Amino acid sequence: MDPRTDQQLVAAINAGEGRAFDVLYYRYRDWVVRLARRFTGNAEDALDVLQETWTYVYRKFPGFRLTANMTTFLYPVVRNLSLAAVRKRRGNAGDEALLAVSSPNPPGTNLDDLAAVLRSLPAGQREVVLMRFVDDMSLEEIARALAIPVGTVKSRLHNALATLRQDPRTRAYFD
Amino acid sequence: MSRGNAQPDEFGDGEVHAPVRLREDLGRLFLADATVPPAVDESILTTARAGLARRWRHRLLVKWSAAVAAAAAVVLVSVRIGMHPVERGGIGTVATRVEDLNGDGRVDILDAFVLARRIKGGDALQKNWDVNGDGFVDQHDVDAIAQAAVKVDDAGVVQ
Repeated sequence: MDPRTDQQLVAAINAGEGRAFDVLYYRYRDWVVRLARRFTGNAEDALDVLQETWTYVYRKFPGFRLTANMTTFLYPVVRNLSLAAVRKRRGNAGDEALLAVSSPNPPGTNLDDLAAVLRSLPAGQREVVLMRFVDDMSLEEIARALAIPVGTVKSRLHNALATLRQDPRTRAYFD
Repeated sequence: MSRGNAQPDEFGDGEVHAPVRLREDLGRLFLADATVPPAVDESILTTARAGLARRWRHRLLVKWSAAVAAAAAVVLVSVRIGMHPVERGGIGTVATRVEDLNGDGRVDILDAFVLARRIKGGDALQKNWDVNGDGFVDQHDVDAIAQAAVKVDDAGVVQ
């Protein structure tokens, strides 16, 4: 496993090292695919978004400067490409439809209630909940990725968690 | 980062946290399968490597062209400076004579003409145009410049 940091890999790619791009790709490939799958709802579109994302990335070189975490940089790219893929497939789907809970419940689990409550949340709240608790991004990273103030991120999370806590279907998580 | 059964909305570390079970179930709902066929990896990386190689070559070409252009500009400026006639009292040049009114580096009948025109036109006259040193800038100075313009040099050559 390559021990270099993302910044070091970016510097190496800028300097002409092709192998460093491979390392960066494999380091974030699964994260991109999972995020794209979550947005698009299907594997085929997710793989298309994966390809388009890394085409976007390599075209940033040489001269690319990574000024944030790689996930902060990639999130809006994957999001926007996924939106485009969904619109192409569904024809003008809005962000609400895009951010709807599209993953089927894994077999053997009873997550319908959680899925239902999440669907009832405003899209902005649902998105930050997933970024924070599924993608494990910090508040700062979420704020930068969505280009909104940290205070807004906190507020949306607070409101979303309050809804989950008050709803009888998901109250048990907070006991 | 595990927070056990900590209450949500804890801001102690500046972050917002949720119960572990909630995070786990969110993961089950949304951590989708990330299988990528090897052929897809190969296609993406092959395209990227070719694209990067083109962009590196292009950048090298742009840098090289800029360096050549800059070097050519330096040479051009140097040549032009070298060809420039002795001028108007600039640094590192031969000092101009006071009779050289038009600043072309030579004292000739044109300088006499310039002074004559300024005297006739009532223009403001500079003290250093008092070529003959009599305290006045007038026709006598025009004559002095004209004489200097046709002065015979030491070798007996009319300049």
